[in-house]
Amino acid sequence: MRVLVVEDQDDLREVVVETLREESFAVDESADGEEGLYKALNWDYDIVVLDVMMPLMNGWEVLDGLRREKQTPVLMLTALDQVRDKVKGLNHGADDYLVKPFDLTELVARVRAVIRRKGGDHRPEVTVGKVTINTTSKILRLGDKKVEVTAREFAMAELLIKHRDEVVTRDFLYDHLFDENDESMSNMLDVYVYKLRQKFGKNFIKTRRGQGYIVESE
Amino acid sequence: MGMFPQSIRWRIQLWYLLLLAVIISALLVAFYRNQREIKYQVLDRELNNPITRLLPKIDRRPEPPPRSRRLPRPDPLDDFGNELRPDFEGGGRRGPRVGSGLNAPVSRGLGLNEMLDELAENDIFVTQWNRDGEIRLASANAPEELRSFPDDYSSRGDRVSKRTVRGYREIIYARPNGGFLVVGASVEPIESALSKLETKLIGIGLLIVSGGFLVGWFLIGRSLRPIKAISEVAHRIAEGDLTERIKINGSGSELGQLSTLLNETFEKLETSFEHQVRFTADASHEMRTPIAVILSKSQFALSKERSPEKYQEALQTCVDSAQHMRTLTSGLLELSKVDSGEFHLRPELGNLEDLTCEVIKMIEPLASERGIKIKCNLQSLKSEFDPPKMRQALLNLLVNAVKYNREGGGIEVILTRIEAEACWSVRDTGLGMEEVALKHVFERFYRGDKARTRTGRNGTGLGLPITKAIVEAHGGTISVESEVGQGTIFQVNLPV
Repeated sequence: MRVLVVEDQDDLREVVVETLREESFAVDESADGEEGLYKALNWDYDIVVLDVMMPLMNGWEVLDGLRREKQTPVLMLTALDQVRDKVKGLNHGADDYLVKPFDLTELVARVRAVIRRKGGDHRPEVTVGKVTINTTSKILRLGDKKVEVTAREFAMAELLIKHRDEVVTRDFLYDHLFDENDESMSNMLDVYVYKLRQKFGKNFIKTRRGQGYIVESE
Repeated sequence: MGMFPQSIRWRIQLWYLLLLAVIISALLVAFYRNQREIKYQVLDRELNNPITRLLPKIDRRPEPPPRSRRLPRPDPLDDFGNELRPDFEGGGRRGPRVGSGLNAPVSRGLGLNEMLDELAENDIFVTQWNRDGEIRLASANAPEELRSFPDDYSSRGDRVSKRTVRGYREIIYARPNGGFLVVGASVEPIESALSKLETKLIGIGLLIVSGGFLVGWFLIGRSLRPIKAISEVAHRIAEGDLTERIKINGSGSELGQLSTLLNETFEKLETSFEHQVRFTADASHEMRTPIAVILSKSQFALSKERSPEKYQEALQTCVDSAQHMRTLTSGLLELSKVDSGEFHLRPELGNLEDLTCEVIKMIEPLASERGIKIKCNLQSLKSEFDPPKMRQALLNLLVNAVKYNREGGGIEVILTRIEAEACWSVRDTGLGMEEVALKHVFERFYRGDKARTRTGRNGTGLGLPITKAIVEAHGGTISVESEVGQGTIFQVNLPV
């Protein structure tokens, strides 16, 4: 899952970005609205975490600009907690709203919830064949047995399961698993696929030659 | 009335109705009286008419010899005064006379009895009394109640007098021989006509007043409608919708002027309210952000085992944020003192040059860190001022000059006396500000976009507003000039 964090306050942005990375998201960041909008328009993020009061371009303007072209989920992050502002945010097309100061755990939970909702899944736990994923507790199970995975492996499994029964291209996987600062080579994808197959069986991820990968629910 | 006097509409309406009723009834009463008078005049004339023809006939009748002490005058007509003459002389001129009892040419040849009959047909009766109060002659229709001698006949000195008694109108001719000739008629027809008229007039009066009530209700309602509109708008504004304005139809009228005035007031109200809302929003944003940083940074640090460097970094961030909050809080407190009028100066006599030097010394380490050189040109100036506050004001200006300067730039501080004022000017070689920013630079929490992106959390956005408040509390002024890319000059003028 790839996230964009747009926040002008350096310390706050840093800690949000670090936290989300630890939660195995691929995270990009912007310190102002203009850059934020540019990035949001040019990448398909799974969610944008957007501050309202920012220089150059405020959160509302970014949201309007984004909504004119894209339906990327947006979670507004702001110090304004009046009902009027919340209503304004939701009416502008924000998917959720979090008031500063917030709990980091709540932020992460809301980010996950918004992504789930956008994918049409409201449950944190999805089972595909013998594999069960819980995005909240970040646990992957094969049957009843818990399987230890790395953050990247988990992120790839999550992405493929979210798009189950669809062919997922390598580019898509790359875009959503690595952030802008990541210099991993795209053949890292093969490594993760190999490891996931090792842990969950050869048929968990199928290769469609020349197209990409697929996880089938049956 | 009860609740009515509360409403302007009802009050106007009631006054209006009262006035209308008074005027209408005065008019109708006057009209009624006039009608009554006319009717009686006509009747009197009718009663007067036959006299000239009656007299000769009556006089020709034999007087009872013993009673008469006086001889009748040769020409009895003289006794009747001028009033009767026209009737007597002008037989030919008497054209049609509305309501006249008899036509002279017809009756001329008649005998007394026929004449009386004819008069009786017109409901006119005739009685004659001798000086002793005995009735000498009475027409058949003379009312019984008047056939006894009325005492007051004899007391009447006038030769001709009129009166209305017991529903009859009488004209009494005092005769030279001491008797009376009375021509009379019932006033019943007149009175009944008058009472009909009265009913009609009351009807008309009521009609006009109620018509007036309706028209007045409508007109007053119409003229009060703008007031209703105004109060509705004011109500909505009171409920919080400050964007409401009164629609003005014709700004020339008093209500139009009032509406314009109210709209201007609402405008100011809205502006100051927006100002307040923005200030609150800004203050809340500024206060919440450092809290958010402290909270999330510490949560992040505690979420799992981390390296000592990570803990140190987290703690440092928390300390920085707390310090920022401290600056912010004291700035807000200071400004709230300004707002509530509790911003008191403790002026002392001192030298502004010393103060300026002191501040420059304070700022020098920060300036040299960024390779900024401070040039000064100071004049010794004694004045009364509050040293800590003035120091803060100057320090804010110099901190800005350092913060928004380029690396290795310069700052020039000049203190001179111009007439009765001490003039500082603080010039930097920094980024400069755009026209838009200049307008807002003294507003609370205002930071130009450039300032924000560049300085991050360091600025509170309260420095310049506080400086301005301090300078103004000293009776001075502060102004700013700037050119993008060239730098900014702040100028402070203080009365000495």
